Amino acid sequence: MELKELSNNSALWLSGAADVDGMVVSCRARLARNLATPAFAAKATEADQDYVIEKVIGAAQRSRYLRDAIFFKMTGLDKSERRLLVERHLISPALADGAGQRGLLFNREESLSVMINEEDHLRLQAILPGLQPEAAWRQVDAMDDSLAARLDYAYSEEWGYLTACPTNVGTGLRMSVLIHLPALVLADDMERILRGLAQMSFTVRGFYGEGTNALGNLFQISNQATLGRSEEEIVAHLTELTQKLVESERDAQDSLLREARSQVEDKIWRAYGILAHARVLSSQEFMNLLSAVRLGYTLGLIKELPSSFMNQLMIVTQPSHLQAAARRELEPEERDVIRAGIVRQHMEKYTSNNQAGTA
Amino acid sequence: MICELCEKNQATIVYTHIVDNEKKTVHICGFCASKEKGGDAQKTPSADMTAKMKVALGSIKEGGNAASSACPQCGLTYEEFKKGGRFGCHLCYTAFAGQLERLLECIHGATNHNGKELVEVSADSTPEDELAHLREELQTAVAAEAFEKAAELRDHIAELEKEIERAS
Repeated sequence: MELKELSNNSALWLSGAADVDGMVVSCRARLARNLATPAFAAKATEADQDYVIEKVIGAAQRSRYLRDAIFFKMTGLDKSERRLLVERHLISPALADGAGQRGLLFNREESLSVMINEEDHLRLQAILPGLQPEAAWRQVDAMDDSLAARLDYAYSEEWGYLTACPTNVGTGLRMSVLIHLPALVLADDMERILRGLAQMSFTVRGFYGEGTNALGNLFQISNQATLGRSEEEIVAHLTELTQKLVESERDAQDSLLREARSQVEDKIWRAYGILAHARVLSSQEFMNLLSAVRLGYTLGLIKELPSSFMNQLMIVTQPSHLQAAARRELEPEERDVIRAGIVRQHMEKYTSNNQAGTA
Repeated sequence: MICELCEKNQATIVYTHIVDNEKKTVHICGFCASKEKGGDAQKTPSADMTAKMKVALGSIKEGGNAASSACPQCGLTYEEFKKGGRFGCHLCYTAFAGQLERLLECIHGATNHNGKELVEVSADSTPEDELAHLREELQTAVAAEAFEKAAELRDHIAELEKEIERAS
């Protein structure tokens, strides 16, 4: 697969399956692993990094999960191509912007991937649509087994899998869900909830990983502690928390409708109208409108736009995806025009398909 | 409102961040937001955990010459580790074991691994031993309905059987 084809690929995790009425976009299981012989990133030479890449590719070729995987070397890609991979959640910004020899392996569905020479020698990821953290864990676990059989992992009985940063040691497992919580945000309830989650040693971040704002009311919830508990416990804890959040969001939606049904419906349909007709859309405005439409889907008001549509649209309107579609560098103002065009096109396609279907 | 980072553009984005139970809000412009995404905040994969780690690191009293001790394998000093928060190789864990327990307790609330074990294939175990072990694991996996794992084990068993056949 060529990188430019990737921008139109429909990744499995965007499919909207198991999405709990459009509230849970995706879930992800990530494992940090290192080889025992060469030094970790902080002390690695380019030769060490090349060695790691060679070893991992050798092991991947004999793994049933990665045998047909696509491989990219970061040094062979330009900045905007690496950004495209970040936007698709295949790599972290740290891998995109890091130094030295770094690589990425992933399957065609984009559900399984391995970052090579990020902070750790290997970062294994399974990402699935909706709320299925257990399945994501099982997949990453099986992929890990297939590599462990052919790689010499850094491991100690006392501390488990040894990672560059002690915050990942032990299981090396970070589980996360991407969840849409518009009514809780509107009810000004998020701060209290975020504090509660932090006390339970869970981290909350905005969409697109670390340090970002919660663009479009999308939050990423993940476990902090990786040591002292089993993978199954981590998975179960995250699942339970997510279900609680979904319940709280449903309650908040119900009271919102009780108090201001017409206003809520009006906001949702206005957002729909703007998305269908706007000529200029900043990413901020787009994400907010999409959030309103997604809420409309959750409430059963908007039926013709499935969550797969919203998930896909959210990715193809990211800056590097827009540049890939336009085949050139774009100024932010140009991006906003092209973004509006793409959104309009997608909306037209869906609404006309729908009319054709019902006619 | 003007962007709090560049102090030039109009702030359009509210950037919220939870660090150690404290919510921090910054108003920034789109330009700074995209810089921020690729900037330092993202280079440390878990900025908030790093903050937690800093607290943990700061709370550790170093006895004697801990600060100047170094890993015999990669040469990383404890001082360097404190600064960067990253180990240089897997032997750093043993080299700094004295400080590690307290650090892990602060970060994870635990000091011992309790998860998936790495099954080491010891040098003197025969392929037949490994095969028997894998078959056992396969049974456990099937019983637990862990089908991905079972499929992987089946592959591995088939591979090993072929190898044994070739060797004999």
